[in-house]
Amino acid sequence: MVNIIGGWLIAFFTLAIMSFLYKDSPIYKLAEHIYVGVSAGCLFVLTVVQTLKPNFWDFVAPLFTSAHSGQWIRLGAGIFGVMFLLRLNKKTFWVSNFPLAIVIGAFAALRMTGLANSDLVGQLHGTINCLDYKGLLLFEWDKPSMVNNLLIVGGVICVLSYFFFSLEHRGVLNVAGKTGIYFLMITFGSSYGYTVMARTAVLIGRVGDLYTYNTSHYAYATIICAIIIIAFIHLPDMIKKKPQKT
Amino acid sequence: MAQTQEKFLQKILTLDRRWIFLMVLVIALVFYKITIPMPVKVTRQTQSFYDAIEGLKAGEIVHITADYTLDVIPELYPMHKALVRRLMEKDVKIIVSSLWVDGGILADRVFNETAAELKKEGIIKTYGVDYVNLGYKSGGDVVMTHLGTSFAETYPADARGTPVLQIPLMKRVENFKDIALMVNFSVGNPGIRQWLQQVQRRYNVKMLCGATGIMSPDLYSFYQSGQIKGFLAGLVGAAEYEKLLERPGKATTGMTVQSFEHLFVVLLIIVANVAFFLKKIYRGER
Repeated sequence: MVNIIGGWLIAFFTLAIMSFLYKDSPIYKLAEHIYVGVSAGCLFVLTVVQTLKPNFWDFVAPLFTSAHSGQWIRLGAGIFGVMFLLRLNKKTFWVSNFPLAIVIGAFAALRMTGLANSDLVGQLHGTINCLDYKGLLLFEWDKPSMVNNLLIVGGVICVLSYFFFSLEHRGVLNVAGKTGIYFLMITFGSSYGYTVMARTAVLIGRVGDLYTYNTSHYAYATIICAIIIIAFIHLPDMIKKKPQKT
Repeated sequence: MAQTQEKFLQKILTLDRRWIFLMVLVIALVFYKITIPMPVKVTRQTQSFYDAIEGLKAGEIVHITADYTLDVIPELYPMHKALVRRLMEKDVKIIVSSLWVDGGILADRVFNETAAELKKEGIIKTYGVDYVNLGYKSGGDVVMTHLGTSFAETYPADARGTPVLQIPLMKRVENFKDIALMVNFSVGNPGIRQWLQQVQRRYNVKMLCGATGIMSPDLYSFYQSGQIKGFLAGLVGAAEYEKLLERPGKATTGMTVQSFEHLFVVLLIIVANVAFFLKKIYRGER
């Protein structure tokens, strides 16, 4: 029984959300609001149960009981958390700036070192390694080869030239910059192709579910929900169009 | 005559987008049922992914990070499940964690389904001994870097609330030095880019990735530079992996719809461009 109800809910909400592609309607709004509410509720519960409880409460609670020893340092995190919440009040708003400053500072440092390590040094290393032609053939379609590696190095230089604004784009810099645009266009095209693939994959998943719940076991949930939603969307228009008696 | 043609071209260029949505839906509905086997060519990054997994020995520990959400199940779930099944068959131990709320729930579903399938084949896998789900943890980059210090400190309890130090598999893991391989299933931020920034270079962890199609173009450069040892790019990556495992699944069956949808999009682009340029030509004539 639970499975059947679940099937009906999946079919209804899938079609309700999809109905937006045809027209905005109260049924779409209802599905959207329920989705947002459920997501927020799920996030809240899981954050409390799987982060706040094991990483904070289970260490701090023993401090107030004589049975076990807790960790005082974790209480500091709790105090910062409470200071954050003071942001909700206009009078105590300023208190939240202190933990916010710590979070921003710590995150900026963490991200900066990570970015420098991976996106800068790691990628630079990878590009320079392309110039090592030992054991490579002149050209291969889908493997590292001299031509492919040269394209990578050339592509990096050209794209960097395009974003180099300290000199006027003339002569060699202009040619390199313009070539860089073509490399960028190819990249954007590839991204678009992958995006289409990703969106289609999501649609395939939904279509699969709609077929699954359109069987006699689920009392043809998909087709019935589709009829209800279509009727609901069109009903107001049909009522409005009724000729008025004079 | 030219005016009629121009009107027709204008109609094409201003076509109500809802017709296109309808056609996309019809193609998906039709070709989901009529499966035409599509040739799947295994790419270099998928082969590398497969080779890295096959190179693992029984008893080694793999850390999977299920950083994805319910909406990308069609893309990432098939590859996640195929990987977990293969690892369990090889008797590789699995630890799963997630930085996205849904990830922990999905990891549980993958484990339950795979363990039940293997049980029917006579292979028994036990929670806590062969696999562990640490669940969701908020904190993003901080969680990543802290795992490098201690798994037990970052995840004092697993998704079921059991203290990790009471779990046999977790007793073998202190930090990343005990992890043979890390596989990230990624949908956004925090995801593979952050794992590379905070963990891969810092702790020298061998890393693989399964990513959504949208994220995949970014990953080629990290694969080329050797920061990722292999990756599965969206649904087609999952289909390639299923081909290598000789176990066609949902990703492989999805390739028919995928191919026809792509053909339709290509057709739309061609028609729209031809109409656009023809309209310009007609205007020039006048």
